[in-house]
Amino acid sequence: MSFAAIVGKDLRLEFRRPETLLAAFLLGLGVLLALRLALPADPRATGAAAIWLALFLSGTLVLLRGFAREHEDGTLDLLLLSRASRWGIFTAKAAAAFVSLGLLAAFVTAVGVAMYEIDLGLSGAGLAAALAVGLFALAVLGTYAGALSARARDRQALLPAVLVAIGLFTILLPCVSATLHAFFGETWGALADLRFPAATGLAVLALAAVTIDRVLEE
Amino acid sequence: MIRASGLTKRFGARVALDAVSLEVQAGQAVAVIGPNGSGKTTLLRVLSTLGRPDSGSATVTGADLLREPERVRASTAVVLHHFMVYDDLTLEENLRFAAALRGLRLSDATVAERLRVFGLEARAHERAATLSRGNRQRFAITRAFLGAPRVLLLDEPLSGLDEEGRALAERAFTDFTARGGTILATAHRDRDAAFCARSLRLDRGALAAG
Repeated sequence: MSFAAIVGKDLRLEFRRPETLLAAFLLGLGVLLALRLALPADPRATGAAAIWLALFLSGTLVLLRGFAREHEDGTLDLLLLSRASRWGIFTAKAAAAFVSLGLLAAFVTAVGVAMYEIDLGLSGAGLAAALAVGLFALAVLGTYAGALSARARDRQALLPAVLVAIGLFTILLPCVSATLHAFFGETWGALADLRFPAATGLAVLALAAVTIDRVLEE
Repeated sequence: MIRASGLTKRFGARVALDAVSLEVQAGQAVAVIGPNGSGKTTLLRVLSTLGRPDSGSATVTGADLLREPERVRASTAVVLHHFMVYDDLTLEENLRFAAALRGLRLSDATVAERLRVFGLEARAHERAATLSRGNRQRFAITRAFLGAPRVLLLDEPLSGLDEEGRALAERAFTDFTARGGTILATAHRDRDAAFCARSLRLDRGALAAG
């Protein structure tokens, strides 16, 4: 019951005050536009990179809100005082982040696919897999970084720094490569590239399972 | 009941709690009186499992603070300085969410009844952001009674309340102890702890019977 309540509450707050999601949508759109104008090479290659760069940057805005909103009136304490375990709180917040990132990805990908004139008939399955795995890894890593920075004074800077430091090579670049394979109709190649983000997501999940009690402790 | 023995908590070089020992029986309300920075809030945070003591031990309703924190949390409700409300949720949504965190599903009638106790029923569908400090405090106290806790840890619970709010809160706390509940409350002065039968003095983290 606590898990569903936390997921529901996070999503309700996301839509009750949609500025962050709208800003993320605009940032994603801006990155796509800038790269479309700046890089006139093979549209599939630049399209794959542009979609993931847009998702990575705009997704950071969404992830920043995850634990940050629990500081506005000390509501992190409300969660910590509940019957939900620290692990339960973490997974619920990661699940809510995954849903929010999914909405953002639907928008960014639709715009990117249209902008770069990519044939989805050829690449749909590989693209869906890349998005599912990449967003899972991003949601888990972003939520863990958010939890790590929950007690930090400079939490607004810490989360993006952790995301870039860890996520650049383990999530962003492999997902670009997987999406590129998908755009060329090479579904198996796409799946092979997704080993890295999948492993990253699972590794962070395992790390969180072991450390989240300490991470959220005062 | 609450039993603490030698609770010590440091923040760097500063000793926030210095070997605090106390006992509060079931059906009793005890106040911890002290000036700002004396360690009152830290004591409540440690007893509620939000903070971990550096040394010492404590049990709340028989559950050990360090070994059985889930049992402590299940039997305890806390009112802190910050109100722990989501500004963008309505009062009703905040109450339902807090109830869900305690494993409860509230009917519409129960929500209305709970909010009525502290005169908040007319505000049920307003966002918490619109509430005054006093009404936030009323809401925080309302929420504390969800799920029939056996222990209330109250950090300056009357602060910010008007006369009516103070009277409602004091009556609720008195009824709670009359039913066998245990209260440990903090206050700056005795006047704000009139609902407590006994008071202790805390200064620079150390406790002395008052």
